[in-house]
Order: sequence, then structure tokens, then C-alpha cells
Amino acid sequence: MAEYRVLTKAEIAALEQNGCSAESWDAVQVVGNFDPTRVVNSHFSGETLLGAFTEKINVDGIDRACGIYNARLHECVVGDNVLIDRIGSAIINYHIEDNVIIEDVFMLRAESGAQFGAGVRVSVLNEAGGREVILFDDLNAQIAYMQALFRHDEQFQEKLESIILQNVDAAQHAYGVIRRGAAVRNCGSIRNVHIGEDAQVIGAVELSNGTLLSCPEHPSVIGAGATVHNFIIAEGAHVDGGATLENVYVGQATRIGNQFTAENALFFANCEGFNSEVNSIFAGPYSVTHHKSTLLIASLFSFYNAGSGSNQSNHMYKLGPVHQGIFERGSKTGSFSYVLLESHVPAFATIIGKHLTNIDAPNLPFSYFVEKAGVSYLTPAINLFSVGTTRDETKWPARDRRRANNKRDFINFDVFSPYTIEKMRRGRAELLKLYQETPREKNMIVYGGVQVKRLMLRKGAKYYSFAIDRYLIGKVMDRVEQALDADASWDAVKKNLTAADGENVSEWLDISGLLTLKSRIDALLQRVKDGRMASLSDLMAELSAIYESYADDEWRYVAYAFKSEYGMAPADLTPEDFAGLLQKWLNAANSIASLTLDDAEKEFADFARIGFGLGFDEEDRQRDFLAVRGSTETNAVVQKLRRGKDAIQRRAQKMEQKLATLK
Amino acid sequence: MKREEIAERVIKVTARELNQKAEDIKESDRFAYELGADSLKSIELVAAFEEELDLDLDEDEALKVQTVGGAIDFFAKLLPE
Repeated sequence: MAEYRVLTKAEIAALEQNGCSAESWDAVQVVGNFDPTRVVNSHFSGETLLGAFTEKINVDGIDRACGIYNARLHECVVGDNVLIDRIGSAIINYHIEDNVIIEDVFMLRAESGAQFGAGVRVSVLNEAGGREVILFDDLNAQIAYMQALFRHDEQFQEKLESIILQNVDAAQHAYGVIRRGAAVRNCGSIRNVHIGEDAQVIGAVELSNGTLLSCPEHPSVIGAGATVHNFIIAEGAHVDGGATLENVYVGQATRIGNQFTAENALFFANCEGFNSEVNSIFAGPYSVTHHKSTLLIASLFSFYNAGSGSNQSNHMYKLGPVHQGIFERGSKTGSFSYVLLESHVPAFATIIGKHLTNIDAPNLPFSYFVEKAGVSYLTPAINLFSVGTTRDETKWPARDRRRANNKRDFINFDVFSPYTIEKMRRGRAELLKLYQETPREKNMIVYGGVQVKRLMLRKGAKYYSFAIDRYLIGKVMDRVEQALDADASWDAVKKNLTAADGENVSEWLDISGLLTLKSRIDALLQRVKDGRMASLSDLMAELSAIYESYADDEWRYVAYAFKSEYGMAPADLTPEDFAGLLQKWLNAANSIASLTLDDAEKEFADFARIGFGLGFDEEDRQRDFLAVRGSTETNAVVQKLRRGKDAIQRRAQKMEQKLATLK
Repeated sequence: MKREEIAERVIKVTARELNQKAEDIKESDRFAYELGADSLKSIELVAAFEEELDLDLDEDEALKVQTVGGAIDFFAKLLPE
């Protein structure tokens, strides 16, 4: 804590000589080595504390002398080596930490008792209210999800809100803060906004009632033309390009710009919002909308990609905008697609066309929804073989841009997890039941509000079986390999295949990126309700423990589902049993790999060459395509898929050899 | 099953699934080109063949079939006379 003293007569004279004035010089205190020559043409009112201005600070490549120039400060504390210059109106009631730059700013004002974005209620999913998420500094995707989606449990909601409001109350401040190393330049009016360490606020039009969290590891940016009201923006986020946001949370490393507009919206880690408009959305991690004409509304997303002109409708002109959409992780909506709400789109689904029916198919992940002539059709399981799905699986973890030490959102990236596998097991049972019940002469049936071709019921079930076999036997094989690498005995294998009890392991939830057993969430809810978990730190510690338990829980699920699928627990397998299952795995893995490779190779088929070699002959058309797109022999994704297919064979052969040499 | 019978059934299913006239379908026609089968249609066609001929096809092998004639030969091997 710096020690302050009153100004000397000589210092006051020097300040007045520099064109400075004060309501009362007695109210202005300074540190011991205060240099009055660094304060020019400025006015002070209220209690003012000024630091030492001894160094230079670099602005746009030019070293500038720290100090206060051409400014009016009221009730401010200014740290060491700060540069303040050309303030249009005034800086009112701010604590400005060391090494901050503030210049060409119209006004910075904080009102005593302001909450700086904390306590703002964001109406997600249901525009008319009922699923509001309360903003506070430590919000993350999981706590927001619990606020918005767990409305069935009134007692839990009351307790959760009480925990959150403790943090909201703590956010109430008598003054605004601009943390060490931040820069606020070329901005309009900024009112009741905390600005975090090393944050860059450059060219913002208007900001009010918000907190810009930031850290040296990953500074946040509010840039050119941004207008943001009632917000919390997390570390490493970037908002610029004339974006207009109101009642928003912007998560870590999320990027927003290019005239994007949002009202009542939450974006968690690594989202991207450009050009589009969103209203009342809950954008879980990795939700992306890049294109003009897209209006996302009243829906839940995660790992989502919006094609241009994607839209949903929540009105129906009855009781107002009360309809909501659930788009489970990994969904994609194609260009000018439309989904009538309410709808529940399964995980890793693709939506093509305008769907004027309420989709409700949570147990059919990896499906296509295609509209033709106003009729919606579902093709189950087909996205299992999309090269896009394969790309996504490796793309998301590689594109985790978060650099802050504290990664707020808990994110599981697995495409194939107990969550999706269990959905497929249920979906398969439903498809097979429908297939058996539907007469052969019937071409189509209705499932979840959409048409499904009868023939695809059995085919979809078969494809789900491939994915289930590949996952379950593959997970067991991982452990068999691990054990045999250490000790070539089946006893060692059996030991490695034991699992804790299989109670309550079939129900899984996706809490906006966090995959977990429902029983763990039930326990968390209970502990909050009975008061054993009464603080935010307790809640975050529990979420962290849940996140860390994924691998163990996954294995418990695998053991349970394996027994259910193949009639025996992994630990009861004999080498002969396992050899039989190995063939099943090989067939499943190979079939998925072949179908995926076929999908990728279609990118190089004749129809993909349309429009190449314009005006030249066939030979030039082929050469043009080869030069621009390459071939299946040169394309990195195709080559990787081929290597992957070969690796499946090699892995199976290696396993067979190991089984043959068991002790 | 005789090749002629397999051919008749393959062409009948192809015509139905790909909205073509059976008399216009030639053995040399490629499903993805002359007959316009996209990825989804190809899968539906395989499902239709499976049901028509009461088979459970190996996906890897089925993918190698490119033409109507190829499909007839492929099924002829699986369904000997």
C-alpha cells in the first residue's frame, strides 16, 4: 500500500504553472516521489490520490512520458506510471492501477454501488423468461446450465440462486477498477465497467455495466466499434468489429465481431460469433456462427456450427416467444435451414432444409434431417461415416485457445463417449422395434415428428451396432493391450478388466460440455439442497471432481454396457471369448473406416470436378482440379483415413499374435 | 439363384429406390453417376438390396460395387444357383 502525503506549496505552484487546477488542493494527495511536471492541463475534484510518474510507457511504438495530461479526474486513485491524456468529459470514481494507459476517452464513470455486470439476468432459451441465468464473475458453462435447465427442482434453484447472489453482492463496489497494464484508448462512454489486468479496450463505442476479466496469460480485448451493455467478458475473449451486445456473457477465448449482434445470450469457451444475430441463446463451448442472414434464437447449443441463414422460430403467435430448442452437442445446420421450435435435435446431427415440424429425436445421434418438398426425413446414424465428424473429433481439442491458468468451463471433447454410446443403444432398440412392427409394404414411418424410411430402421440399427462394438470392445482392448504389454498372462488381463460396481452408470448427462453420470449430478443437487454445499468454491470443487472422475466413470460404464451387449463382464472373458470379440471389433472398426473413407474420397469424384478448367478441354479440367484440390493420393485427410484403416488391421493382427503367445 | 432372376430384382429395386424406369437401366450404369445416387441414396439402395435378397452385406465389400452389373455379379456370388 503506497503512502501518500499532501502536496507542498512548491508542487501546487508547479501544477498551477502547468495549467492544472483543483476543487481543493488539500484533497489531492501524492506519493513521496511525485513529479508535478508530469501533470499538465488537468483538473482534480473530490478525494484524489496520485502515484509516481517516473517512467515512459510505449504507445503505438512511441515512448511517452507517464503522467496526467488534458484530463479531469473526480474521486480517483491513480497508480504509478500511468498515462492519462485527452479525456473528453472526466474520469469519475475509478481506481487506476499501475502501468495503465487511458487516452482519447470521452468518459469513464463508476457509480458507488454499481455491480459491474454481476446480477444481470439473461433470459436464455425462453425469451419470455423462466430460464434466466444470473451473471457473476465466476460463471461457467456448467453453473449456467444448472441455472437454466434444472428448473424442475425448485429447492435446488433457490439454494443455487442464494449461492450465486452471495457472489453478486460481493461484486458491488464503491468504485470502478482498471487493473494493472490495461489500456483504454479511443473510446466513447464507459460507465460502471471493471477492466481487468492487461485488457485492451480500444475503439469501443459505448460500454456499460460490465466486467472485462483479463489476465497477463490471456488478455481480453474490446475493440473497434463495439457497443456492450450488461455483460461479463472472460479472459482471452475478443469483441470488436462493431459488435452490439446486450445482456451477455462472453466466455474464455471466444471471438465476436463483424457487426454481430446479440441480446440475452451466453457464449462459453471458444465460441465464434460473426455477422449474425442471436437472441436468447445458450451457446455452450465451441458454438460457431459466422454468416450473414443467420438468426439463432431461443436455443441451447454446444460444439455447434451454423450455416448461413440458419434460423429457428419460437413464436407461433400464440402465447408469445415461449418456444425453445435443444440442439445437442455437435449439431450442424445447413444453409438457410429452419427448425420449428420446440425441437430436440440429437447429438452430432445435420439439419438440411426447412423443417416445419417439431423434431424430437434425442436417441438418434449422428443422424441427417433433410427436408424435401416440405416434408422432413430422418436418416439415422449416417453421420457416423461423415468425414466431417472425424475431423471435428480432432479439431476441437486442437483449437482450444484458452491460455488463462484458470480454465473456467469443464469440457470433454469425446465424440464417442458413454453419453453418445448409450443414446445409440437406446436408439438402436427403438429402430429395431419399429422395423419389426412395420409391415413391409409400408415405405415410411413417422418417428420423432419426421419421416423415416422403413428400410433405414434396420440399417440405422446396424450402423449403431458398429459404433457400439467399436467403442466397447475397443475400450476393453485398450486394457488388454496395456496388461499384456506389462505381463503376458491372462490373469494380468483379467485384473486390468475388473471394474467397480455398475450401479447407476447407464444414465449420462451433457452439462454444456461436461459429460458425467447423472447420479453424480443428482448427488450434487442433493448436497446443495441440504446445505452441505453452500458456497461457490464448494460447487466449483465438486464440478472439478466430477470432471476428473470421467475416466473412471467411463470404464464403469464400459464394463456395464459390455456385459449387457455381449453377455459377460470384461473380467470374466477368456482368451477365446476375447478372440471372438476381436473379430467383431475388426468388422465394426473396418466398416466405419471404409464408409468414412468412401465419404472422403467422394470429394475427388467426377461430380466434384464441375466448374474446373473453365473454357479448356477435359485434360485441362483434370489438371486444374489436381492443381487446386489434389487427389486421393495427396490429400492429407484421405491419407490419414487410409493409414487409420491399415492401423485397424495391424492392431487386430498384433492382438491375435499376443493372444497366441499367452502364458 | 439364377443370374437372370438376380438381375431382374436388382434392376427392380434400383428403379424403385432411384426413381428410374427399369427399362432404362443398363448393367453398365454406375449408381453414383448415370443413376444419380448420392451418399444417402447409396446407403438406402444397399438397405433395399439387403431386404430384397435377404442378405446382411459386408459394408466394405458392398462399397466396391460401382455398377448395376457389378451388383448383379456380387449378389450372384453370395446367392449361388
